[in-house]
Amino acid sequence: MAAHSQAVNVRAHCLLAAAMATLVAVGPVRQPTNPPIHQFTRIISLVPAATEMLYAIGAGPRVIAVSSYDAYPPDVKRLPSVGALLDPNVERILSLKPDMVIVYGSQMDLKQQLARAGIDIFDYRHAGLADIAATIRALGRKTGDGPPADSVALRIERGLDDIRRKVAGRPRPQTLLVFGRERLALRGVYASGGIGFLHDMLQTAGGANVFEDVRMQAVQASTEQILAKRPEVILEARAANSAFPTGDRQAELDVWKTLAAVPAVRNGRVLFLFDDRIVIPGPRVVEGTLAMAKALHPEVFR
Amino acid sequence: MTLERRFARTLLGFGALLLATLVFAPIVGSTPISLRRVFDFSVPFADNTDAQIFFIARLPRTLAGACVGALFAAAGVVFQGLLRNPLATPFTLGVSTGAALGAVLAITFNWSIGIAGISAVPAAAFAGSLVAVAIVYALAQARHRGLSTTVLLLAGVTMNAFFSAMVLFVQYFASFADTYRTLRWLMGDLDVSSYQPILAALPTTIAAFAIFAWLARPLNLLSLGPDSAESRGLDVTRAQRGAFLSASLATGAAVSIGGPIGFVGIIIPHLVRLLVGPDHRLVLPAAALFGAAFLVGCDLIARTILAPVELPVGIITALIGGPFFLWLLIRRP
Amino acid sequence: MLQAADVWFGYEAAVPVLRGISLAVVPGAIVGILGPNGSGKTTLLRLLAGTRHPQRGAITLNGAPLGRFSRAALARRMAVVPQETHLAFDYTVAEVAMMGRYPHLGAFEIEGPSDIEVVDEALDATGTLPLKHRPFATLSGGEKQRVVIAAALAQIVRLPGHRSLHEGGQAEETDEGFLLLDEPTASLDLAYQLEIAALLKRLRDERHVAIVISTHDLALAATLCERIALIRTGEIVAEGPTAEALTRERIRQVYGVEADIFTHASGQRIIVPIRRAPNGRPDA
Repeated sequence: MAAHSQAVNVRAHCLLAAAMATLVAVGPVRQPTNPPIHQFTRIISLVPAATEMLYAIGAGPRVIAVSSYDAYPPDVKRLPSVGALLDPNVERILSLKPDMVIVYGSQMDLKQQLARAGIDIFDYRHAGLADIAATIRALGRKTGDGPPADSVALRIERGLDDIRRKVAGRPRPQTLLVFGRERLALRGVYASGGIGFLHDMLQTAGGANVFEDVRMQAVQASTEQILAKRPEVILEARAANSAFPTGDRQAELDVWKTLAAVPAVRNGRVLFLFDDRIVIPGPRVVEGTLAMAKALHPEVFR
Repeated sequence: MTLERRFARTLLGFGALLLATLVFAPIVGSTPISLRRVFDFSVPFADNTDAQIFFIARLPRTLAGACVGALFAAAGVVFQGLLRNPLATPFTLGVSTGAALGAVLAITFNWSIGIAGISAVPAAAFAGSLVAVAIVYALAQARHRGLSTTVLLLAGVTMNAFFSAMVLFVQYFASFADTYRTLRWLMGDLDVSSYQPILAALPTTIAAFAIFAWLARPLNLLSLGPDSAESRGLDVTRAQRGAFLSASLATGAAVSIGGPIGFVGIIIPHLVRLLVGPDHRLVLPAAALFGAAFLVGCDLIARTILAPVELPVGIITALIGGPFFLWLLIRRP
Repeated sequence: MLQAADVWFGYEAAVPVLRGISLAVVPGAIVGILGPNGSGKTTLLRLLAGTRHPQRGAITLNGAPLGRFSRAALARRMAVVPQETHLAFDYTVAEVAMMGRYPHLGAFEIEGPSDIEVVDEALDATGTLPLKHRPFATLSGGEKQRVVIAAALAQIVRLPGHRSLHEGGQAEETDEGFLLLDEPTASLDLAYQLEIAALLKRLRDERHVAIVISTHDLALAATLCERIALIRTGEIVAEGPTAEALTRERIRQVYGVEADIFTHASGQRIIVPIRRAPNGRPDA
């Protein structure tokens, strides 16, 4: 009789196991896999970099208004503009009935007003190069475009890594990265300090920032400092609409001649990079970094 | 002691101070340099970093500071004598605000002078100062024979307010970066990196100082009041015109080089009067020399105290000027 | 001699402040210009000093119109002492007095030992030499006035062989200069008033400067001036030796006041205002 009960036990176990296995196999098919993804469909972006991110992750068609500084992709020029960092037009924003607005972290008043109106916000903050991918992911999760955002972020990370690999092992030229100065004069020269995404971009592109040791995003570089740092390359980076007019380019190059003793000037390595992809920390940052890398290491990037 | 002796002593004393400052300032800075290496002519200039820093960065900067300091201090003395008020400054009559408007426009709209590749900002600043001077002068002349200092003061204060409002207006439409650059310009910047801005301002500087030399005795007389001055043989209208125009030109030239650096034009005249008395024949040259030394000293502090960050020189002059003024007020017997 | 001949003047061309003024000041005389406030006394003084120019008529110095002289040359002959002196800066007594010598200095010339001597002597004459190195602003009212008078004295002193003999055209150097004082005692205490009056008399006696004072102080004028000119609303009502010109009728006419005039034991003429004139206003 004991053998018979053992056999029954075994059969019961097997049946139970089979039933459970069936349940497990069938269960997920029967139940919904995730809660439904909420997509924001009326998005306003006050941040040009974020606008580019939205378009990159496929949320472009759902953008209804942009900032006054937005220019890419070209589609955005058709969209209404609602101001920018210093002068957001709250009335206009509200009248367009958005369900989400991308704002700068410092726009306190605007955030309060939008919160009172019950409109969701995405708090954008400028940070380093690495944070661009993270911001894209976060934005995608927020707007309901998670998977496309992830893939864009991944592409960016891989693209940057690719550049890093290509310049690895090559000597890094001491570079002065100038992002602003007086026209036709070497007064008020502003260069990238040792933190911030311009600095990160320079590092990734295979350059060494002469102001690496200054823990600020922007440094007003005096004549003495430039002479003391002896940069081997001077990169003047500007947004496309701040480019020097073609007729003035030579004159703008010539202003550096007062510092003729600086290696970059002596060896003719003062370069202009008028490229929005460099100054906007958005999805095109890989292309921007590539442009910078080409300028620094022309022999690698044919 | 006769005036001649006092004059000689004053010139020698302040002159020596200025000379010492001019020698010392280019040697000191955030980057240590060796004087021997600077003057080691066997090393090609292109490789001699110390020499480059000395001759390209620090020497022009020191000379610019001396020039600007002398101009502001002397202009301050003359304005105070013209307006018969020891609280007047080179900025009281709107000259520097006009210059600021010129500079703001040039910075915001990226003006440039194609010929000779000169940056437009100093030229625009000087032009702005001339416009301010012309308007204030025309207003002050309008209703009176001669120049009424009361109307001058009112006109100047009004234009100050008006130009300031215009500056804010332009800044509102400027980009963030331009606004920041304008703000920094307003705080003063002596890093000229070449002798060109100094040379450009030289004709105006020489003209202004020539008129200052002539103005010394008339300013003494003017302090008695225009009628008393007239009865002592002074052509009061001519003297007032000369004072207003020369001091305004001096201010315009100084602002075009280094921006509107405050406090020099009011601290130095006061300090100098405390030291040498109120006779303008002593005060004017002493103020010019002392102002030069003072500003070079302030710039030295500005570029070394928080190295490697360089502070705008206007902050240092303000930090020194404010407490000095408090002290002046408190000590008044 | 300083002379005004039928002078008309107004600060604005259409509104004359002075009408048809004729007056003569000879060396060694003290002349008073009397009148109520607003009658034009200060303006007349300015015209006499040459700091304003008449629209009609002429002011002449020894026959030559004032306009013929350079400002500096005129200043070397005539000095004005204003009612009050406010300095913008903290000059010493010596510096203020030395400013009187400026008309004698060339464009960039500095005062020399002779100028210093002149100034010292002028300060001494006004009894202010001990105050020489004090700041002017710390002086009493009377002391300040005396210093300004000293500066004026220093201004009109000519040194032998000095500039003023060669410049200035036809001024014959036959006079010792003119002092023009505007309300010299108006803001002073009684004691200082007497002091200044005595000083002016001494200056006239010892140096033969011609003195013109404009004042509304009848008592001062009565004791000090040999000749007076009474001005009412820009016109000279009476002019001549004091005893003749300053009468009860004239006082009523110019000031609208009934007054008594008599001579004090000390020889001074005393004027006592009694009451307002019947119609309370100066006669038309």
